[in-house]
Amino acid sequence: MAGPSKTLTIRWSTDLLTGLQFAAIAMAGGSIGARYPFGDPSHMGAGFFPKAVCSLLALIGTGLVTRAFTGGQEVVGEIDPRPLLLLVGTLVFGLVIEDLGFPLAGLVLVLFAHLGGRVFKPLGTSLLAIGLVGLCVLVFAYGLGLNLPMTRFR
Amino acid sequence: MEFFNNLALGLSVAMTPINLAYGFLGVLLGTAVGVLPGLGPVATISLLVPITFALPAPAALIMLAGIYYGAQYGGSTTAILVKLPGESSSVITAIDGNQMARQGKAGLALATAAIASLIGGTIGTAVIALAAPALAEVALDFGPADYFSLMLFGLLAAVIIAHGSVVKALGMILVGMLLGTIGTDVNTGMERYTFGIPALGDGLDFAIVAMGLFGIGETLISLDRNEGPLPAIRNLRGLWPRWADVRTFLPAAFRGTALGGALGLLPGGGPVLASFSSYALEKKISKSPERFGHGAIEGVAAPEAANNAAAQTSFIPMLTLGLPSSAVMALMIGALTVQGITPGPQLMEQRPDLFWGLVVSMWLGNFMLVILNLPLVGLWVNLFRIPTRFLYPGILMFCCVGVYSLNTSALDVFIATLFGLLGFVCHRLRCEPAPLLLGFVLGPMIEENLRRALLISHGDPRVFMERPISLSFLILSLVLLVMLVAPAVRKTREQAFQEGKA
Repeated sequence: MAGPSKTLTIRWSTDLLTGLQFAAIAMAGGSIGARYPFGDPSHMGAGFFPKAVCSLLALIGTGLVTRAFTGGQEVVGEIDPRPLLLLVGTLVFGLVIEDLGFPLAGLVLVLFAHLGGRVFKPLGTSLLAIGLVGLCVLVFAYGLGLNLPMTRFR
Repeated sequence: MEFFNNLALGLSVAMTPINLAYGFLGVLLGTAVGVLPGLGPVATISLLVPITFALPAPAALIMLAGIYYGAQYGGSTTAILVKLPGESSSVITAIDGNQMARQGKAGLALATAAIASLIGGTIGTAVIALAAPALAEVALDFGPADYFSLMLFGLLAAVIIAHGSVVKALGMILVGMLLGTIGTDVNTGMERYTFGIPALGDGLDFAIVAMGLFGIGETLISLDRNEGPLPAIRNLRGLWPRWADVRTFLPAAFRGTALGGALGLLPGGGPVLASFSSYALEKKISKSPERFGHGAIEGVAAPEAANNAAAQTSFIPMLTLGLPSSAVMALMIGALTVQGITPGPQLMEQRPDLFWGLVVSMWLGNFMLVILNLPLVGLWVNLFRIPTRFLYPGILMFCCVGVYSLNTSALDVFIATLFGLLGFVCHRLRCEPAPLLLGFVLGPMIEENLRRALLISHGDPRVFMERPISLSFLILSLVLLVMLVAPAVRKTREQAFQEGKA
């Protein structure tokens, strides 16, 4: 384990942030959906349902924000952003799999996974990465016949 | 007579080598993920859904079902031995089960859990076999308005039973519904929220949403929690209970089965609620409630029977109405839909092999599980010792491979990444991701039934009040809403979940 971890502390309440998140989603959904025809109840248009859902969501978002200001709130607290490196890993996986093949993409994924979990060790991580890639090639490419790029050697 | 013919048909389906093999694989995997904390049936089933596309429908359903009820068995093992419930439905088992283990009665606790699970599981399956066909017949009379009201009721019930804030859960359902509208609107042919990306024309693939939210998201969350391993209890002698023990735990197991089986039917009910409620019931009716929390054998038998009974009966709404009552059932519906099968009242007539094959496989599976979990318990304890640093990169890679190979599309990997992030953010904001998935699956069904109901009634909303079935569900929904606002109910609900955390 690495030394004391760097964390991010958010002092905002979960209600407030959730409310804002819901309101933002509702606004985005509502404004994009504004150009879908609404129709009328007997012949609902494509926009009827999305608009109904967005209005309700906006209502709930507002309710949460209001609740955040009336006490009884729980703050988000400490966040360790380090595990988010896993998402960088899956992103890179998606970026390289088609051009550079699954084996390389898989190795990179395990690398980021261990960096994100603070358990990276050069030798241990490489061995695990090679083992996991080998297992996936065996099970998925050969066993189940899935089409993973650059796993068939002709 | 027809019932036995049906069972014979089910037996012939379940006993074919391929279905037996996949059933066994399912319960084996289920036990494994049950034992492993941080990896639950929802995540595992989402990971395996893409693989089932290549299987025949009965084998796929039998395997996925096996994972679900198998996890209920495996979850109790770590709950008892390490006080680390592998599943949320085993949280309550950990209280008395682990106390028993500390008093040197680990073997007895494990045996009690397994036997109670078997009782709950087999009776729960019998309830499916007896009740589902009758319910499906009733469901054939359901019109669009009835379905709409039923789904409304189901979603509200799911919210009440979910952990945490009700308002947040409602919001998550709505976000899920909005995500469900992505793609081409089936009625008007208009593309909604596709941002000009052709691949989104068919909508978001639910398997990708599920793998992102639960596979990638849960991995992130487990790292965030940073749980260290706890010392396991290794003394497993005395697996077979004595008669005095049996006399204490059998009635508790049957009460747990009855309560769990009933609660499993409720939308949003399922194993977690069942185990909490049955524990509370046992404590209430016991002559010596002070033993609870200090190794009461009823405190292991009742919740374990209840969570297994509920796991079985929660299949009923899915199989007879086509309605998912939980995230797992939503996944099953998704897997069946890809196979070209629409779960619903017609399923039993159109695919009796599928329904009865599943029922019989559940019986077989429950017996396999007892064998897997009792004599082989030492094996699973070792599995528990696999360090997480080996485990989570593997889960992550399985996710990525699964997502990518669904449509051989890198875009899907990016979408799953986005949902992984969403899962993490929601976790930190104390929102459960499961209601989102329910909304995502139910959203299009709700829109379709609302549209049809209003089309038939020429836009008159009174149609929902005029049909008796629809009206009753609306009244039930109203009752639920009133209960939600009533302070007394809120208090009990909070207490129930608080007790679970203790």
